[in-house]
Amino acid sequence: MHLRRLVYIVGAVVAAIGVSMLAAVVVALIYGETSDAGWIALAALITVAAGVVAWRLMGRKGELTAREGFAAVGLSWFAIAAFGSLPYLLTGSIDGPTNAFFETAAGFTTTGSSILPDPAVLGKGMLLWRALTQWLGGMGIIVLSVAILPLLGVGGVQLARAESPGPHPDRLTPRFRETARRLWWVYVGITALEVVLLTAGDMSLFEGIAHAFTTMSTGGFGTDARSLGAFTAYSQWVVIAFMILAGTSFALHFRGLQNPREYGRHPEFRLYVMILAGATLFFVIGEWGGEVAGTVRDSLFTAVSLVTTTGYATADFGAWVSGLQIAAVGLMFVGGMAGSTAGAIKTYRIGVLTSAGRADLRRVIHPRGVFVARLGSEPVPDAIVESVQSFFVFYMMLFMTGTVAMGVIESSLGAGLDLVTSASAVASALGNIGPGLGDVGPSANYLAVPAAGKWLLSFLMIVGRLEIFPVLLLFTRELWRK
Amino acid sequence: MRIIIVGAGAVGSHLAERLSLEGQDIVVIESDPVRAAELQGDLDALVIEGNGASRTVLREAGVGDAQLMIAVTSSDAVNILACQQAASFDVPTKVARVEDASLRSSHGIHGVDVIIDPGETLARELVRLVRKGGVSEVVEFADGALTMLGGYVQPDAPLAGLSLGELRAQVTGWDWIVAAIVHDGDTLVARGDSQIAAGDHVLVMSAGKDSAEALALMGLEEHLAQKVMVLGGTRVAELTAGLLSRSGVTTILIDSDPERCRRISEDNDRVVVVCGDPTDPRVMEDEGVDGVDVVLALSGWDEVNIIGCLVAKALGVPVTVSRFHRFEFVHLLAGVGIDSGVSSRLAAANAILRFVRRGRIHSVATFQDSDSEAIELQVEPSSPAVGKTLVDIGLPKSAIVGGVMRNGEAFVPHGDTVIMAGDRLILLALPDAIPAVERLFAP
Repeated sequence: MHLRRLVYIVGAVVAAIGVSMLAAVVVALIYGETSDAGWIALAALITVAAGVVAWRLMGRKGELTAREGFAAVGLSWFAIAAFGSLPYLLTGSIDGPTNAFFETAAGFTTTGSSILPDPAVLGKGMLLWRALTQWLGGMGIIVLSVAILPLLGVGGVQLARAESPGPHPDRLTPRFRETARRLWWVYVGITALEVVLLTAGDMSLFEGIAHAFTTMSTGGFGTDARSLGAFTAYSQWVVIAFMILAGTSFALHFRGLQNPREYGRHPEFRLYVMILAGATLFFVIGEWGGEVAGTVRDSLFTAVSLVTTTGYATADFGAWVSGLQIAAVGLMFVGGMAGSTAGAIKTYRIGVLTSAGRADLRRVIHPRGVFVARLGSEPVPDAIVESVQSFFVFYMMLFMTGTVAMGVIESSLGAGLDLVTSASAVASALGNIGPGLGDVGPSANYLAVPAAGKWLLSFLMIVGRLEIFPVLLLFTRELWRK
Repeated sequence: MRIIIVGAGAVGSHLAERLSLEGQDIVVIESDPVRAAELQGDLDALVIEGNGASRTVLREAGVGDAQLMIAVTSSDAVNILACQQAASFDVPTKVARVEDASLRSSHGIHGVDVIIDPGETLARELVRLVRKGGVSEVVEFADGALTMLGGYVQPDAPLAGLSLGELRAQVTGWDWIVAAIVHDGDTLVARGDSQIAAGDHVLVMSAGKDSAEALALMGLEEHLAQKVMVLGGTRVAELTAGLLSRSGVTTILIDSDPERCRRISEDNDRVVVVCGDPTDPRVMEDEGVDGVDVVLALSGWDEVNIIGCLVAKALGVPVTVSRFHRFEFVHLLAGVGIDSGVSSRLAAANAILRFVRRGRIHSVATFQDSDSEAIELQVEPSSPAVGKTLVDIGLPKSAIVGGVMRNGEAFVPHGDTVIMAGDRLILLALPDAIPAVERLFAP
């Protein structure tokens, strides 16, 4: 373990985050929030200074092994969540480090669960910072660093692998750096398109940018307490379309731009669309009775928002009948495609798990039979099936232990959040969705959760965003051994 | 005609032997010195040791005078390169064996005129056999308008114990011709007074739509196979299982090598791949052998195939087909628990002989245990046969006309059918009759 090489990476990433705060400074100045601008600038200065000290003075450049890459990514994410909370604290937008860290972690991990009862109380500069954390975290800060900074060098591939959602990063080009750059361009391009479409509706330019940032990253932070319910049906339809795009693999978008038939051919995309359609149909049937267009839109919006792990809301699904609420919690585990900005288990793994399960079932009928898990018609190698199964086991174990821990925290304080709240909050944090059910439902927020619960949920968000292993690795003794 | 054959494996040496017996000038290029020396002793042909893709070696083989290049080594790359080299020497026809399907595009391969894949040819032949359950050969002409079916005459069949003349009077209403009879390993081209006994192997020509009746003549029943068991995991086995499963037949493939099973399972979604000893009755029973219609034994070992077929028969499988490497097994064992024998060498030879033009004659098919060959030719206007009926043209005794294609129609001829210029005829003939047939129809 070369600690100084790790520090080098973490420092560089922190410095990059500090630089990105300047965008919020500019916006604050534009809106005449001079005091906010000054405090955010100070936060940027502290962050850049801390990053540069670590990077230049304490760190040393060197090639990382695979496990060091994983560890560097895990540590970087905790570091940026800490430094990213400085603007909230210094401007006084949020009280106390616990709340600020929670809000920042919910930002970078694209979870979008908030402790703010009404985001509109924040200044425009801070709202932009809030949205920007999600946009940067969506595609991956380290992937971005690999794409634009030469400093991460060859080890960048190891790092990006640890950060990219999904079991197998798609290579579009021989050089990984070029691949990362192209993915970011697709990301930037689609985001820009959404800004144009949203501002053509009832959103201001600022609202358009803030929502495009949080849609494309499947984050879910809004600018209004009513989330997307505060905007017209047109804006909601645009957001539905872009949530679906954001939950699709960006490498597939890149190929689809050259040949649109690639979408239809992609087995994971087909499964993704089927899940969305099935979930929508379920909600429509459950909510049948009111105005048809509104029911369909709300059902589709909720299904897409949950499956892509965005976490926007137009309807309060916490007020739906219990069968639909349970379905909503179930959808929190699904997630979008591998290689998208979505969180949770991901369609690829869902497909592999069901196919592997079917192969096991057939093995009972044909005891000597040889059956292969596949996605579409493509066989999936055993090594990947095993890693997917082990991911699933870890994910469910984290969900269960997390739920128990939340329950213990609540009970010891006598506050008495119920099982529904605890379980849905954990599922939501782990899957990077945002709202849960019960006391943390779409129309409520996380402010009332006890401090210990907030730290636990923040931790689970980062664990979920990095797909478990880079974080859990930090807790193994073998990693730190010389 | 000078023919260069590159690669003296099973297919190459069989072709060399067959073409050499027909009087062609054969040059064989083989890279393995031991194999080359062995072949030189067996064959009346020039055997050159070397790489068939090398220009020097090809020049030594007299590539400048060659009419035909047949590249059938086990390497696709060598075969294609050899053909491309031959193309630069202006060899008119280049045939390459290419097994990798991804190399075969719709444009073909540059420098290769004919691409053959013996494994695939055999697989398709096996699928036809499965569809006609119980027959030993199926050859289709004119897109299936005419069919030649081979089979073993069952004891209670209409054909058994009668002369063909007597049978002709009994069975009417559809056109059929018994083309050849293989009795104790000797092939006879059928005449009116030929007697057929139970157990004889016969080749019957009929219109494609009448194939059920043709089968009934031999005492066989046409039934659609629902479930097929393939023994062995060779390339032919995999291709056959893949084709069968895609045509809707439940296909179970058994092989003993776990890694090969895994790969076959990966590439063939619908085939149930079972890892076990393909000759073990318990493995077969576990996979529901009692519902199986046809067992295809296609492993790489004759012994395994024979035992597999015998076990399957004992467990009640109605039809078994075995692949043989040793030709002698075909007529020794057919009928003894094995309904049909196939061989990839023969399939390859069939595929290639088609492209060996001998004058105006095309070979269409050769048969397992018989020297006879189905050929196709066009009647030239100068032919002495034009305007005469079949009985009057004086066809050699060892040849018979089984089909006529005229103006896009195909039919089974009678003795009074008049031959016209431009007809395409399908004949079954023994090798000694071929020169006479050529003189008669295409002088």
